[in-house]
Amino acid sequence: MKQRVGSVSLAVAARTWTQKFAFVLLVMTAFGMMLVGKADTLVVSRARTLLIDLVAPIMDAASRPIASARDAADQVQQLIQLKQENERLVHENQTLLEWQTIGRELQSQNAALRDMLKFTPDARATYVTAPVIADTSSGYVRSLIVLAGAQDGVVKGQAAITGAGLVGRVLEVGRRASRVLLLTDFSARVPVVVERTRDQAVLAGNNSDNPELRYLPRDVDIKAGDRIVTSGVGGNFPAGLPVGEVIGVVDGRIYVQLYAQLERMEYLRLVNYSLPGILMQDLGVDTTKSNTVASPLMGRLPGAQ
Amino acid sequence: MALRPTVGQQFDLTLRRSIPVALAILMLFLGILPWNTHTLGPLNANLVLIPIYYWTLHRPRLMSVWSVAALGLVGDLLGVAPLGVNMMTLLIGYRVAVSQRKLFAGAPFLMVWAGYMLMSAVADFAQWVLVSALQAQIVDPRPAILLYMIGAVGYPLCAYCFALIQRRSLVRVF
Repeated sequence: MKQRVGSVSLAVAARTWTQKFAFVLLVMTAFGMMLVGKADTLVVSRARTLLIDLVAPIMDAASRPIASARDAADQVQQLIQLKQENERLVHENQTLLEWQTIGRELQSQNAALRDMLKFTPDARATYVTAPVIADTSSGYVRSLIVLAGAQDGVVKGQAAITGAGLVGRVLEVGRRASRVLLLTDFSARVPVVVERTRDQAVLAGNNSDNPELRYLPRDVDIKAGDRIVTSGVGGNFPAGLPVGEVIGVVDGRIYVQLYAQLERMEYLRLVNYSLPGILMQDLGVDTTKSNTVASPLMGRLPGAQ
Repeated sequence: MALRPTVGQQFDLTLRRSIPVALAILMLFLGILPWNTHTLGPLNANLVLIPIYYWTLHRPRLMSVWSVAALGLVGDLLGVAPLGVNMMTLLIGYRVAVSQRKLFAGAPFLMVWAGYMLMSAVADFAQWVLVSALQAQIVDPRPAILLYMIGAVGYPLCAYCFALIQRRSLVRVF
């Protein structure tokens, strides 16, 4: 009996020791992974794309009931607000008709001016529409996974947009799913311009819903409501993509409300503008050679062929 | 003479033993579904800490340190935070839960809940320190505090569900 008790306590001690050893070993492994993640991002990126490819079908299936429930809730809400919505639309329609008249005038004027300048129109952008299947955001990162990958023509660095404006860019591309880094992410940086004053700045994510404008010139005249659009600097995105508008200045920091409603992103458009930007240089693509598709930016540069 | 379990019984036992880890995986994936809660902040509030804490207290053998590390690795690869941070966070949380096990196992629910909040606070603080160190700047802790609060509020509901599952499927499984 004593021998049995002794062997049991020995087994318990051995198990405790093994658990402690395993804990230390795994903590060291986690530290090692942090170092590897810092040193070799390509390996980490490949591992991540492999995993998101694997889980994409599951996440797609799991996210469908959520999308259906959201649609049903939206429809009920729309029915409740039908009268108000109708009044708003009538008013909006009148405003749009006025804009249509102005637009037609500008269109004909623009055509005449282009003709005078022998202007080459921008190459048409190609796009893929992809459903959002996972929100992999946390307290420190803001990203989404969409169900479209290399097999659908998605390329790293493409702009991710909704009907309202820019949302982010494609960070990692798997075979059938891709990860989009949102503009609100801590590491997101997009060259932008204040449409009214033409002051250039960088839109920097801060993990909140309102990214900041940085590197603006001193004594700049910024007001709440100023439209922010992409500047095209860096060549990642074309100039003029709507991003958001200034909502206010707090402690000298200028915050922007994005046009895209981050809480309502069911589908994203991943747009290929075929720009020879710095992201392509990251991928090792020789951007000095001419592309098969004419670059819109190159067409605008003075002296460009 | 003790009867040897049949293959079916062994399979059933294996399935039952995998319930805690399966629930943790489920929580991990639930946390990244597109709930569109951006006005509240992302829902991925380290929800996986809840099953880790609960099962470490109630069925410690079914939530091993290896499972916790694997969950952390999957979380790391699914997100874009620096690799290893999630794994380290969950391991720290697990270690705190293990150290509290004798104190909280069988204690009144409010005390167990307070234990979860303590463990989650330690893990989330460690995560904030690690992310700040790896990004070489002090990152804003407010979104993480919000997520911590979501986790703390969500614990009772999850614990209730886990207790039901424990009573139905894991009464004699250790």
